[in-house]
Amino acid sequence: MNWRRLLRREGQEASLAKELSFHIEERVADVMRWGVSEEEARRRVRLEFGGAEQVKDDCRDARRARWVEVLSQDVRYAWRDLCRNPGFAAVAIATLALGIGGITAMFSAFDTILLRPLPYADADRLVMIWDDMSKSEGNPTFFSTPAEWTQWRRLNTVFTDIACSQPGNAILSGDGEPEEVRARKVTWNLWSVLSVQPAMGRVFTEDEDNNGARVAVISHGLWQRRFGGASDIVGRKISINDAPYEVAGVMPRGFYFMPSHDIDMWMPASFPPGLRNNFTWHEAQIVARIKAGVSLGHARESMAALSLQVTAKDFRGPHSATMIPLRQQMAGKTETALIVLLSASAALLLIACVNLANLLLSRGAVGGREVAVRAALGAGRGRLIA
Amino acid sequence: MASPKSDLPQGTLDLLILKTVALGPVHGYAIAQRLQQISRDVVQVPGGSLYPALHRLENRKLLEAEWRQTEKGRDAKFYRLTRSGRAQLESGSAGWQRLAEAVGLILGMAEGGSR
Repeated sequence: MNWRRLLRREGQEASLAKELSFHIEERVADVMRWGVSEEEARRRVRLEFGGAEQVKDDCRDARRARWVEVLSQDVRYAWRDLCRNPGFAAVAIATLALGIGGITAMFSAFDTILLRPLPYADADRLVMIWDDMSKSEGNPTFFSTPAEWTQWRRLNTVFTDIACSQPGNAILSGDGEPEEVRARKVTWNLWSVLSVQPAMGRVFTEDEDNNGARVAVISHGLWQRRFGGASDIVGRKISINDAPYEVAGVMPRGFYFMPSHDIDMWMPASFPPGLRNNFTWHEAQIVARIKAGVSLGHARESMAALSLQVTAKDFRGPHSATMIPLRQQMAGKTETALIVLLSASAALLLIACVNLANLLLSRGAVGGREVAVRAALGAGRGRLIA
Repeated sequence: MASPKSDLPQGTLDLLILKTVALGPVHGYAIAQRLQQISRDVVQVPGGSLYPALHRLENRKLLEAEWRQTEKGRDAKFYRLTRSGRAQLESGSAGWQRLAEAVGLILGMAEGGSR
């Protein structure tokens, strides 16, 4: 498309007018040669040639590039029309804005939870493992125990590694207002199982975990919010639950893990020896990475068998284990709800459009006269609708 | 002007214009005149058909235009055939000849003898 030529409309218009008037003048001269007066000749030529404006319009149409002009005219017309009816404009804009806003909000939730990849490498091989307590507790996805984690880790053949996390609480004090942040106590290998790296600093080591070292990994959000994004945060001593802890590292922005998005701190699990043998302390969440080449089904069977073996001596009777792919686990029951909500907001947008169409229609009835005038002046069907 | 005018079949005007222009650069009025003279007044193209057709052909790059002076010293827009215009003319007139012969054959059938 030659835009410069389009902008030289004036030149083109002049050229068109000149071309047609040349034709008419030549014709008039020829007709006068038959001995007719100039006035009469002009009259005849006008009849013969047709309306010069109509011819010009047809020529412009023939040049096709007219659509840009038509569009800009229509946009300007629509703008003037909206300015003339600010009330109508406000209602129309608000209706569309609500409809569009609703579906945008729903879609961003949908996108984050279901479409976007989880923030872990090779997330499809990550699974959560739960105690299948359907017999004793009526719950097939019951929390596990640190003791089971210890045994599973030792005996399994299908996972590269298994990590465990327990609820924790952390009250930050010292600098600034005391504040309770959501925390988890996690085994040192959580990071390697998830295959994530801290954005700054490091995560804690097996030794630190075993020795109950007071170190913490914090979220990007907490770092920004509480510590103002300080560049010397790594190694800083902070006070958690009135004990001095050292900030070991900061996780990247957008990192999150079960059970919720707003966990801000991870501390070593440091299970005391008693807990490592306690098969009834059901508080742990277990995540494991399946070895390459092992199928989900095989891992599931193997894990169930291992669980039965490990809990053979449990006084409540042995129980199996339930394995759920991490993605499914994190979407959880929200999946259906999200799809329903997304469809609902799509329907809402449709309703908004229908309402708007109704409004336009009722206004169209009022504007019938104007449409008639525009049609009479030569507006095409398409332009009248737009 | 008593001679009967014929309506041109669809698409024929473009072909006639291309042929006329092929003889050498020419302005719109001269095209109209020549068409009328050569066809012995059968083909009369009103300005309302001629100029949109010229602009359409120019827009499709079958013709190109240039402002020049006529013999009488007036400025006129002269049209000239482009390479693709010539190709279009050749294929168009071949098609037209075939069609005309075919129509002639059909209309020339002896009546009643073909049973």
